[in-house]
Amino acid sequence: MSAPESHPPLEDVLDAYAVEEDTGGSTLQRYLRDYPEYAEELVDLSCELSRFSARRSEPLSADDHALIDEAWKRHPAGAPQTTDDLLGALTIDELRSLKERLGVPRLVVTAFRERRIQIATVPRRFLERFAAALGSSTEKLIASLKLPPAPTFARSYKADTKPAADSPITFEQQLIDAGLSAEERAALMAND
Amino acid sequence: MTRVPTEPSPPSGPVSIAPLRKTRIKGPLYTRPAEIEAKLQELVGLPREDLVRRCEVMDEEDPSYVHSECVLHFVRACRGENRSSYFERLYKVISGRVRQRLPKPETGAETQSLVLENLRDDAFGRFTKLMAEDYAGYSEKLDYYEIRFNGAVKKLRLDSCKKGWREAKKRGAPLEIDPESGEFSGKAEKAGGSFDPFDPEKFRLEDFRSRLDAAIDVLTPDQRRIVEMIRQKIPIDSQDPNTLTIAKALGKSEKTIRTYRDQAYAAIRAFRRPGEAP
Repeated sequence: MSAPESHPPLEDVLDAYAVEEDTGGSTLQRYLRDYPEYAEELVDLSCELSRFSARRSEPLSADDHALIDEAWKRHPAGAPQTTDDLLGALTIDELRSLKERLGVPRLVVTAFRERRIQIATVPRRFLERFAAALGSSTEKLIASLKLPPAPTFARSYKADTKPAADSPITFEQQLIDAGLSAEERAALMAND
Repeated sequence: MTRVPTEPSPPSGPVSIAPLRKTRIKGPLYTRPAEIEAKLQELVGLPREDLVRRCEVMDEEDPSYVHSECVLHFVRACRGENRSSYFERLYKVISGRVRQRLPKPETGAETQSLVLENLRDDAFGRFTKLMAEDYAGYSEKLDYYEIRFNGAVKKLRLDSCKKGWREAKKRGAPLEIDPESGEFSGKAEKAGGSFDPFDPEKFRLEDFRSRLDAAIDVLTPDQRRIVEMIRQKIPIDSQDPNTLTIAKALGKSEKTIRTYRDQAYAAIRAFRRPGEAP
């Protein structure tokens, strides 16, 4: 097989190899030829795939059941239905990581955090990515973003007058205010 | 008169099963293996309670056992149903299937047990994160688990292993072998004779294979890779420049590969499980 023109990410190559019908020697050789730059990782995965799996599955232990129940409680569908301020509890590092995962400037995340964006104007696709980045459901995120506006202490401490709550603006306006180009805005506003 | 809710009647023709969304490296979308699609068609018409009960069978040898690829499909298919108890039951089934597939530590070796338990928990944590992401929107990564569940879980475990290796490296955990000189710091002697860990006679025995896995786990990464490539019948070296060889793939000399192989075989031969007599 000829070498592929592009260089797909390591994760895609490993995932593809892991779900091959036959992960034996000839498939490994094909992957090693196609992706020599990932040779070590591919062989590590081959080693894992060669690992012996007992024919008969053992029953789950009490510890397994306890961990599964715990996982369910932490799952968005299993957690109690209360409306939490999902963004209010994030640390600086988590906010930075969120901004990077969403591909938006910090200003936009701050605006969401302070509930200064009209939720109805945010594309569903963006909300889904947003919720996924927080490990939550879209419904919970929307409920959280609809909580009463959060105070803006950090940005208002120098003001001479008491800060008045600004009216929420549209998502697109917020992207314009944050200085995003028309192309960047179009990508974030896309809904398919 | 109050209407009693009833189960939907089974469909008369083929039902449309939602396609996967993950694209292959070279273009088209991934599809499920034909046998999984056929199983889904067979199961999708079952009354919901019957379907969930069948999914709850955990013994692979039970004739009503449902493949994990199918269970995961049904978990994802009912995630939109608001707080459905079926979703909770299926979520717990698929979580159990993942835990079943993650190798358990053997009793006796405390340090190794701790490492393996941590690996299981870390890998399981990664899976539950994917499930949360999928619930929030759609995790294409979970598509792999609908194609070949066991392979995807093994990949999941490898991700956790790599994290462990990185942490060990940061801590400066000693390697058994000096990467510069290729010499052992102790423990294993050079393998003599014609020791072959993949002797087909022995390899058929389940206990031998699980023992071999445990022995391979204690090798250094380079040794482990060489042993795996030999297992996959890749030659160490070749006169033919077009032949893929271990030396070429790992960028090491033939002599180094042979030295590492001998040391790895010696370590495998000398390997003893906790409490096992020499």
